[in-house]
Amino acid sequence: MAEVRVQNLNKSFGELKAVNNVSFHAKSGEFLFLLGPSGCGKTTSLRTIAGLEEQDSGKVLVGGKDVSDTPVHKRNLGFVFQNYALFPHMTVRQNIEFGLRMKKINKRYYREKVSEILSLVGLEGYEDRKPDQLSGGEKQRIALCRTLVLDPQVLLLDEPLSNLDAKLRKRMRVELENIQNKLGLTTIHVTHDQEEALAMADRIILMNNGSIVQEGTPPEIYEKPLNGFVADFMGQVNCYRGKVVKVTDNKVALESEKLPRINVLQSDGKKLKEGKDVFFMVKKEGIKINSSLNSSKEINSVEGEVLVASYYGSHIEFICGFPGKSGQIILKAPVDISPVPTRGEKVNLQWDYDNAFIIECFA
Amino acid sequence: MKLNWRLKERLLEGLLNIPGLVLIITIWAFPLIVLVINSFYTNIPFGGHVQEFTLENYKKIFTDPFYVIILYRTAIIAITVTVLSVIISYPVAYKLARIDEKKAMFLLILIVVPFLTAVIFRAFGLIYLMGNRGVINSFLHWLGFEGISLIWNQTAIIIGFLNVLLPYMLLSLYSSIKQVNKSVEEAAWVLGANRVKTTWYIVLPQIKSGMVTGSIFVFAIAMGTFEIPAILGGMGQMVIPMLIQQYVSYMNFPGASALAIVLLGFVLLFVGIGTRLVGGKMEL
Repeated sequence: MAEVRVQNLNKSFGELKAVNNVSFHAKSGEFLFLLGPSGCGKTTSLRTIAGLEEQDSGKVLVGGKDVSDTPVHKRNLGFVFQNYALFPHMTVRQNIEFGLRMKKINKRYYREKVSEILSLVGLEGYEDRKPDQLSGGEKQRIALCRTLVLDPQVLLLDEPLSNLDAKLRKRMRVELENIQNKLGLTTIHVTHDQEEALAMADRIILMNNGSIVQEGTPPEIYEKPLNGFVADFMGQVNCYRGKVVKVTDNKVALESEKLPRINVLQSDGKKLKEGKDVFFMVKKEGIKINSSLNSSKEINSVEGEVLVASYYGSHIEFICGFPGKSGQIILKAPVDISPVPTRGEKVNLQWDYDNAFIIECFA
Repeated sequence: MKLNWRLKERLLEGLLNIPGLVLIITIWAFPLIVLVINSFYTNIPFGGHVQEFTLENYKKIFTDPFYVIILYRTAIIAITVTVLSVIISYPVAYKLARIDEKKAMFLLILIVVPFLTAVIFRAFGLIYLMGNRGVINSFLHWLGFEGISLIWNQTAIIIGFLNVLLPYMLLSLYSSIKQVNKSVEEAAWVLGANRVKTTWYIVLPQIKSGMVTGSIFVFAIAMGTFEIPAILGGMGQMVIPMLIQQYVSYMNFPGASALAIVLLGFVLLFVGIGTRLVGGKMEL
């Protein structure tokens, strides 16, 4: 299996700088995710690795070999498209055999290879169907077969699950992970779905506006976002911009348009100064909700009012607001809390210090 | 009795069909029937015809070498024009289908504008271009080359037809290539197919019906048009439409009718064979 190295990649479409000096590295056998909102350059980066886009500058190395100027059809990379891109005029068998034919592989092996690869994805007996007779999930799996049958050095996936419905997407996630695991294929997966990336990735590269914002394992990125964008994008819903108004020892007082003034314990090593603009974040899983107002706990806590309480079976989600302030806090509480605060009730919200972060704004 | 609304709707649908049906019957079906009947009447040379049944008109067309040669020439010209128009139009249509839609629209308008000029004017225009002392030959002479014969022959007719008919093929290929998903082509490249193989195995099979539609237009018009061969081919390159015109001017209506029916038969036959060959469906 081959590793992939992308070095100082640049690509513009007219005025638009789609990829701006991007470098990253997918280790051999790694399941790497390129994650980001639409238009962040993740798909362009992937397409450049495959050769479907020509880079303005920069290099793509696959297995240590510079393939920057190798034409697409000679790169021997697997690519799965968002819309599957099956050949509509060919049967499943012909679709899978197409690559073998192009690589001039002995016809003798076709039958065996096709049935072997179909059984890998559990679609034995589908050989003679046409693409328009397949469901979305089946098309997806055939598209995967068509690529895998050629033993590619690297598998590139361009939002492969985004056209599937929610339930099927979850099932295909597991399947895709199993296949990737079984074959130990270096895989680069592009998605805008942060949940998908968290669930499947060995490592995530988060992009925005053509540049890499942060890279790391899913817990690293989810729990230690480098800035407000990362936190917001990774599903940290409680993210507020504010100002440090007072620093005493390890306690920091913050003021914000959205929240009442709060006192937060500062995490170790970080020395914030008064007057600094900061992002304050608190995980929705890390907040405790209390009906009894307890003003003595003034550190890492805030008082609010329940706006919405929604029961989800596995948890209860509360949306709390603050009188006179525009901000809201969303939190997940276990179903067994009692009493359950109801709409309009004044509550005390409290969190441990490792569930909250303060990040300096640089912008 | 109050009418059920479904019944009303069906009645309305029926009523709306009537104008179309009347039009089709009067301008298409009725003349065709008259044509068929006429073609079996007996012609009296220089004296009109009598309503006596005969197969003589058809027999002549298929046995007299004079007619067979004309029939053959008409078919060869139409086939050549059709094949060349596919070959010439494809790369242009492909490029147009793959560029920005606004640009493509502008270019397509440029292609369609000449349509607004009558065929006859364009044919005369081509004489100035291709004639023995036309623009091309004058230029060649000026360069010191010998002139080439571009007029009063089959080449002239074929070029003339291409000039008129390329837009038909181009537009129909354009709209069918537009429906071939770009990522399907990209999938073929990634799987190891170069451009030529992708075109041959992936794009062409998917645009068969567009090719057939375009070919039907081009072939039928190339077989049935009078002006182009008459103006650019001259009398030495007689084709069936010219022959029909001659017959009509001699008042030989049965002979002209028989020729028209044979022409129609040939068009249907070739279209049928062509469609079978590419394995596509006729889509009009």
